[in-house]
Amino acid sequence: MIRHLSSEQLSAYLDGEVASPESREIEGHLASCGDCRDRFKSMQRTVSGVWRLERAAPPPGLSTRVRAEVAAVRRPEVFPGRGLVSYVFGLPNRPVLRTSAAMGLALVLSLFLFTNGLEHRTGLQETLVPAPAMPAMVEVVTVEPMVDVPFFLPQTTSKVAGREFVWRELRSGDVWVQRGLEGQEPATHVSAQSPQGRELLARYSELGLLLADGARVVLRYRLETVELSSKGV
Amino acid sequence: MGVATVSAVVRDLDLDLELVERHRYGDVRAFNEVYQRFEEMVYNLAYRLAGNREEAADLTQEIFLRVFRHLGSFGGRSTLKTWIFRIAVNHCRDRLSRWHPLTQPIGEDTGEGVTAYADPGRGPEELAVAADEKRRVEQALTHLPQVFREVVVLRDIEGLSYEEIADVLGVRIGTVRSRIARGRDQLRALLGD
Repeated sequence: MIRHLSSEQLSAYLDGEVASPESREIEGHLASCGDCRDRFKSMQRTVSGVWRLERAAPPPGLSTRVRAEVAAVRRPEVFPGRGLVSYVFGLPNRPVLRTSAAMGLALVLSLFLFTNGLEHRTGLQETLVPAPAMPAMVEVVTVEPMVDVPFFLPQTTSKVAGREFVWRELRSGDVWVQRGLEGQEPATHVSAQSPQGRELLARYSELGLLLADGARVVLRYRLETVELSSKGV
Repeated sequence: MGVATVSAVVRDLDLDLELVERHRYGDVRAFNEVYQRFEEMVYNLAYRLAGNREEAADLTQEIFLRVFRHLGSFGGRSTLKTWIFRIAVNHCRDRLSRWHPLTQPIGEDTGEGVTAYADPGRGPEELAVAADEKRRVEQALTHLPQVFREVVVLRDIEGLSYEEIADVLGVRIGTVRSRIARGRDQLRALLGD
């Protein structure tokens, strides 16, 4: 025979979360003990008060806010040409076909770029590798993002941590460059595993998404242009 | 757990895994479906833990960003529902402790710091059905220490089983049972019942 029922027993019994032997024992005790019966009723009243609370309805517009935020961190589709390049270079075990296709693609692209005057635009890759010091009289050309990109080569951008990043494929590897920093050479190179890198990622965890596929990220941080990389620096 | 419950859980888990698989393959609609299924549940939990609607909306937004980022790594060891609740509870704990550094948790065993919010002019039966009873209960709930508020909200508002709550909080079922009982005792004291 139980002396008095504990709150734990009453609470679990109320929730139907006790095994049947214990349940029968509790029922027997409740039938004979007025004190425990009163405590049980009191607990029932308290719990039914909570049960009666309605679920709070989300405010209108919250779903739009969340979806917009998710869309901003979602990596956008890369430009269609990338798929074509991957296809050409991914052709399995057909060196002749692959070489011919690559040459054909290069020829078509060269012709197109030449006729559209893009050959005069300096590649952005030149701006991200350390450049030798220039004589003072040489005009420094800052590469601006292409504003009149052909319709089939849209810029791939991603809005992360309140900044907009532009996707670049360079000889040295893929990189996300913060909008406005195009043409700037990173002053500091930081590994994501280093204390500074961890601090950066703790502050702007969304940056991890940009690093996820091995790309580097160039951004402004503490008044410096910093290159963040998932690999060791 | 009965046969019907087990088959319902298996069905939910199948649906969860299918959604996650679609998300991994870049199906944008998969996350939207997850959001639709769990928005109210997450918002409500955030609202009950934070105590105000603006914070709850911000918390919900941040929680779903976390869900979106980590959805691809969901392994199906629990249901998506408990997995999302776990993210939500952990995020609320993290954010709310940073926002309210002066709030001192009340000891689990002592029950100290409990102040009565009873209305002495009315009997308990009358109170139970009165319109302002809800407000009193809501107010009392916000005065529960977070560790008890979490289990009471998960059990009595969200309707999770003890096993599910243990999974969400990463504690043993015995701990859940004890916290729910203590939470209810403190709530009863706060309500002066």
